Amino acid sequence: MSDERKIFGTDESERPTPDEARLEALLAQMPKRSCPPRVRQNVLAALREETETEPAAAKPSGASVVDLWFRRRALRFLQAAAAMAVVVVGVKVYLEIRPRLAVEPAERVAISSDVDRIESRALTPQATPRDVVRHKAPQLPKEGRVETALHDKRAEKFDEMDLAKKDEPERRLEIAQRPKGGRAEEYFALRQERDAVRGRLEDRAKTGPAVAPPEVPLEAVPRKADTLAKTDLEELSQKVEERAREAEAPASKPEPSADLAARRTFGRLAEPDRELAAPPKGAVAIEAPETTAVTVANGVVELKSALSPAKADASEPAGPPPLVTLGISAPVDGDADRDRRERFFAAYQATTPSRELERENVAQLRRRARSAREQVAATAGAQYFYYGGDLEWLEVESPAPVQQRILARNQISEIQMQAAEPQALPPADTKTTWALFAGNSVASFGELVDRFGGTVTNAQEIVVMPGSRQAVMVECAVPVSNGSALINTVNQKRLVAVARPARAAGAKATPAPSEERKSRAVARPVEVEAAAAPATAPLWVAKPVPGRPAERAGLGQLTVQRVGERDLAKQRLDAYANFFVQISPPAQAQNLMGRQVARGVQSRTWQFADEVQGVTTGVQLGYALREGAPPPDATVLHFVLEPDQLPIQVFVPTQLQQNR
Amino acid sequence: MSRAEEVVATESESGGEQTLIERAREGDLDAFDGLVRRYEDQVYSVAYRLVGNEDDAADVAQEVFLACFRHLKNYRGESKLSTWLYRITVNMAKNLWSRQKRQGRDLTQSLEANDDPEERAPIETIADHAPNPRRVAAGIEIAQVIERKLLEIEPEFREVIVLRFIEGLSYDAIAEVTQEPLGTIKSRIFRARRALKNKMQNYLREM
Repeated sequence: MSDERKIFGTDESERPTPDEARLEALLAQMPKRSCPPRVRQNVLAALREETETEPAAAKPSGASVVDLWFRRRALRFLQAAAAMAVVVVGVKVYLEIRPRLAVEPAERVAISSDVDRIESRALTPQATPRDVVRHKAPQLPKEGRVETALHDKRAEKFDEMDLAKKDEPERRLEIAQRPKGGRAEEYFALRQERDAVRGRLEDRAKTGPAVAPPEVPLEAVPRKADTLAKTDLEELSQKVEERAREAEAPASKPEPSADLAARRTFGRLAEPDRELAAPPKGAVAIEAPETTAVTVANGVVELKSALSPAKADASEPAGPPPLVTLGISAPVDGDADRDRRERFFAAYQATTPSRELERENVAQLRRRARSAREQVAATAGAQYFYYGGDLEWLEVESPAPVQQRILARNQISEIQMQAAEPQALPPADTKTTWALFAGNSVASFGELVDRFGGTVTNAQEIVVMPGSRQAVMVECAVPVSNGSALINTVNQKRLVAVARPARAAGAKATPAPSEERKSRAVARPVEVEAAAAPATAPLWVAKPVPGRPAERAGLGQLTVQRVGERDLAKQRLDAYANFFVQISPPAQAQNLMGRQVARGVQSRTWQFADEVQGVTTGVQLGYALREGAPPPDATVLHFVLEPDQLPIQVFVPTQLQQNR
Repeated sequence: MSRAEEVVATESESGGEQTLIERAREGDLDAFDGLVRRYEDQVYSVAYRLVGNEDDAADVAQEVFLACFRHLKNYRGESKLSTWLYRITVNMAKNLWSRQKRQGRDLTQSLEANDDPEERAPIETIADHAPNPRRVAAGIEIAQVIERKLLEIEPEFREVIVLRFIEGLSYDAIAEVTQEPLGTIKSRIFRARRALKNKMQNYLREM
């Protein structure tokens, strides 16, 4: 008996009770209800109205449920299709332009996610031999068993079973690891591209970022450059050889169209990786340029470098001939080109015997070649190509931005090289430089004095403080009428004495800023007027201070009597007054400078106080410089010449020149 | 005699209900009128027993015939047309019940409802239609009692009671109409009969 029967406690198959039978009889006798006629009328009226107003709707459309479902979702389908189309196009464009983007060394290796996905699916799993035999998908070994996965008993058993076909497992393993179906070609293409990018980045990382010129990006050429290179290289080799032969023949001359084609073709070859991956026939390895000296002329950068070819070892198996340095050039069709070619050959022959290429593998050679090539491209913008046994020196104009960049770089490097020269000079050269400065400054100042009708009577090297700077004290005798003018001119700092250090031959005439700093000098006047009687009467009085012991020179502690400007001006007006030392640096420096100046002229001066203490700004130090009487018609002036960084122009009033 | 009646008579003579169906499928309203005439009483009667009043029964019958005409293409002829119409009627009645339930017009009363007179449903307490024995004996009022008691039992019980004992459908036909297994129909009929008997216990004893 079923559960339902148990639940309800009765059997539905049992006979109905009398009440139930009576009920059934009553139900069977229920009168039939007749449908009111309005029902039928309404129905037919509604149907007729539908048929008349909307025949299409009234008639069954014949569309199936599936049609209706699609019809309702047509808009969704259209939107989804449009979105998918946009995504597909975007991905395709991205994949197309991605290789053209410059890849910096520090960047993460840009590997397509497809490659990673495919590789993770196909390469990461460690296939066991049994999986290979059964052609199953390789299973990921458990953690810790990766290394031993191929050495378990199953592997041994498999080896024992299949010793006759030792190469089969590898081949089958490779087949098993390959992605199936149409993904295989995509996988291999992406993997090849990935390997190329990785190789370039490794090479760059080894050669360093400095040799990677920004104007020569790695992906300068579209992706299909390899195919272009492969197809064009053979033609190019033939063309180059033909041009070499034509260049040998004086009458023959290549056609311009062929030149243009050659240039274009070589331009395509400028892509860094492709030519390394597929060297042309007959290409011989040559080393990096030995020198990188550049000559800039008319915007064309030319690299003079000697390239030495690799010594081909006959015993060594002939591997793929590496193309070390890419050559870009025009055909040798003129005298100038021929001359250059001969010079190049001469350099080449001169360097060949002494430079023998060591035996090294192709990878190292290629890396070295890359470094050399990039360096050449960075410094000179021209590249060289040793091709097919005949050295062709071809030339191609770099793009204008590259040329400008190269020119700017060359100029900067030249300036930096010149700026680095003084530091690189030995002590003897430093002396020479100072001697040059001293001589030139005295000569220049002598010219100025000469314009004022005077002459330089003496010059002496002194040391001014602070900093123990070297300076030159110049003594000159100027007519009394021009004395003040000379002093004013000097005080207005309109005098320049330029002494240039020795420069390399061919250096530019335009001085670099660093040169100006080192060579320009300003003449500071040390105004020493002729002393009136008494000749040794100083304008300041130094006398011992009671209670303080004498410290130096046996003079004891000194007291300084300051001299007012009015008194000083009065004495200046007097042609035969005392000479003054006029100094302008800050307070403490004034003291020291004055002391040093005094020391510098000590042999000819009256005893000068060694130590001046408590002197503030604006102190005038005066002392009798000369014991003898000055010439009656001239003013003897002393100036201190020392190098200065301020650029000062020479200015001499015309009136003074007329007074000469 | 109208044209539809002529059509029905002609088809009846030829026994071609199928012909009427085919013509109605092609949009012949006269043929469909013939079909409506043939089944309108059955449909209306079942609808009336299920929904309990004439207006709703008329609406249900109209909707049944309209749906029948619109979906006549989908009628494959695997069952009788009457069975198909019963099925549509039951579904329409269920739809009506659902609408009434949403609108708070649930006139039926659950079997689980309390039998306490004080807590009975309002419809039972508001109007006392208890027939007097004389009228019951006359056999006129008993039909109304049964119709009212039918409305008090569960709808699924009601539909099987109507189809089985009033319309006289077989178990298989009921299973086809209700789209339920045969065993379920049998069990449901059994329980529906018992439920209705319990509802009419007093009347049955007086009879």
